[in-house]
Amino acid sequence: MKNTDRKPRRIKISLEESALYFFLAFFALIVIFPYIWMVLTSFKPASEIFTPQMKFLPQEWHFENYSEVLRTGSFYRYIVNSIIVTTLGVLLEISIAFFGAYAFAKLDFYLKDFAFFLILGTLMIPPQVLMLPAYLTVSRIGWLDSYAGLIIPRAGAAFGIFLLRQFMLTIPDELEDAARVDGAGLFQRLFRIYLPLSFPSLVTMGIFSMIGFWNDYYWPLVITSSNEMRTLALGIGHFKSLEGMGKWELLMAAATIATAPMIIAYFVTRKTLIENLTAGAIKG
Amino acid sequence: MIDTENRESSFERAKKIKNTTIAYLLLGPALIISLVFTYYPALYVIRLSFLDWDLISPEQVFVGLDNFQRLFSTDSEFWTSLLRTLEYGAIYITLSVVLGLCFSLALNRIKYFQGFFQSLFFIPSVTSIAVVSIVWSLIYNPQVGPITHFLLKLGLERGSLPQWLNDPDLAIPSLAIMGVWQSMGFVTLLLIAGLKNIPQIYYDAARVDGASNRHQFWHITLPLLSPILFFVAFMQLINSFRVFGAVAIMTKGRPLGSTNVLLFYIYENAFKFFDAGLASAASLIVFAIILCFALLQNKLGERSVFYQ
Repeated sequence: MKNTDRKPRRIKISLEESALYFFLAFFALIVIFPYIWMVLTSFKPASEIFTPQMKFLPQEWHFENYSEVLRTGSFYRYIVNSIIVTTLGVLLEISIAFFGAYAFAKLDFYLKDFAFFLILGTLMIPPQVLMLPAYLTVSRIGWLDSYAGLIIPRAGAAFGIFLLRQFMLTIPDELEDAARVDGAGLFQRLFRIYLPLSFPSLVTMGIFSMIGFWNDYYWPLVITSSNEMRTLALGIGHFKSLEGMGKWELLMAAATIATAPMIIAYFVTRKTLIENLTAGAIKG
Repeated sequence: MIDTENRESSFERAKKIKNTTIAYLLLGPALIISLVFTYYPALYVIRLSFLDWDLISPEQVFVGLDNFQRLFSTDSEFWTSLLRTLEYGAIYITLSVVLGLCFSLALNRIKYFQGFFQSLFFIPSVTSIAVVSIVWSLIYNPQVGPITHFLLKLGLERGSLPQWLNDPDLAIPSLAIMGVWQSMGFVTLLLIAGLKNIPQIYYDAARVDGASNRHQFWHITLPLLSPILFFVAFMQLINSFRVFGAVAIMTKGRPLGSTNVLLFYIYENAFKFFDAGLASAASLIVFAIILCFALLQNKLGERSVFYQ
């Protein structure tokens, strides 16, 4: 009796489920389509873009679009700038977050709550609202159109401090106490105990930081004025003037170059990345 | 007895003072960056909003509330700008919450490929707005874009095709759809986390009572998910006030000023028309609006405790 009762239900569920799979697959295709179109267009010759008989796949694969875009204007320089800004920015932000998180997680000090509120409060203020006064501030310091201006103002690490502090709170104090008894100084304790233990969290935070620095468009737009200081994201926006000349294949090659590293980094680390994002957004 | 207590507390105090020195040395960079690049500009923008200044001349004239008066005058671009932003927000929030709810409910019910779909939907979130804007400029292109080719294949006349970003009525919806596409993964992620937090026992109890799927959705899922739904809706509302990159790259406020959203309005007034006072006054208003939303979001977030 029970068996006959169950069988038709199972089939019903799988029917409902296949409808869900169809629905999700359809939208997955919509999500992924712009990327497919970007990559395919980047390999097409111009003549295949402007034909009324558009084909999905390139009839003639033009890999030279990529070497051409690298030779166009200052594109090469944009890549170098993005690598410099992202590398230094991530290292700076991680260090700031690491030391700051230790202070908040393990030390009892005066005005601790106020300092915490001050740093996390920066997350409440959307940076774009301050574009003009931030620009004027950087200008006064003399960092306009410089790597320092591109990196330092964005390395405040509020989110990283919050994320790492949560993790460091779970490390038992006994570890540090034992090291202290053995005569280890502050920096020894930080680098011998906390650094190795929080390494996975540091990597996660580093990926967030990397995506942030690499992808940012607004801050480089405000802070740079010369073509030589443009980062890749900003340079690509600038590249769009090529669109007037109809060089879609070069634009898409440039876009592919700018996206690929982040998508690869994302796929390598997506599990921890998604977990931390969910936790951060719901708690924060 | 009293003596030892005193000694202990003075020892504690000495330790705390030492800790305070260490802590502020470690926190120094984070605090300095917060103060110099967030709080100082936040105060600076208040001062600027009372000035008439072109960013270049050494002369800064104090004009009181003049800038706010200009901002709120009936012929001010600010109002249309606010309207455009709200129009964008209405489409963006509705679509992303409804679609996000569908996706998360669907993902929560399937057995296989859950992680696969979830990570796929999330890819646009790790793509720069610059790249997204460039690629979607091609997608929406009325001459060579894939949508155009598709519609032509369906047999539509070239003259009757939608002009997307070139059409003043379609430009904002087009941008909003692109925004939904980009933020969908994150919205779905949050809603799935919300769904997973609903205790299975409610559903079991409902099933025992013979409640249908639809019944369970309206009487269990939706009420228990509502705190997260509100959270997401407010997050998207705040995000809709922060639209900037897409406009700066794709439309530059055109056509006919139809995509001149608030942040682009501020940007142009600051760096194109060199009207520091007006740009700062507008910045303050936008900041006040966003702050109100954020506070409301927190209030609603607190209430979610009662549901759980």
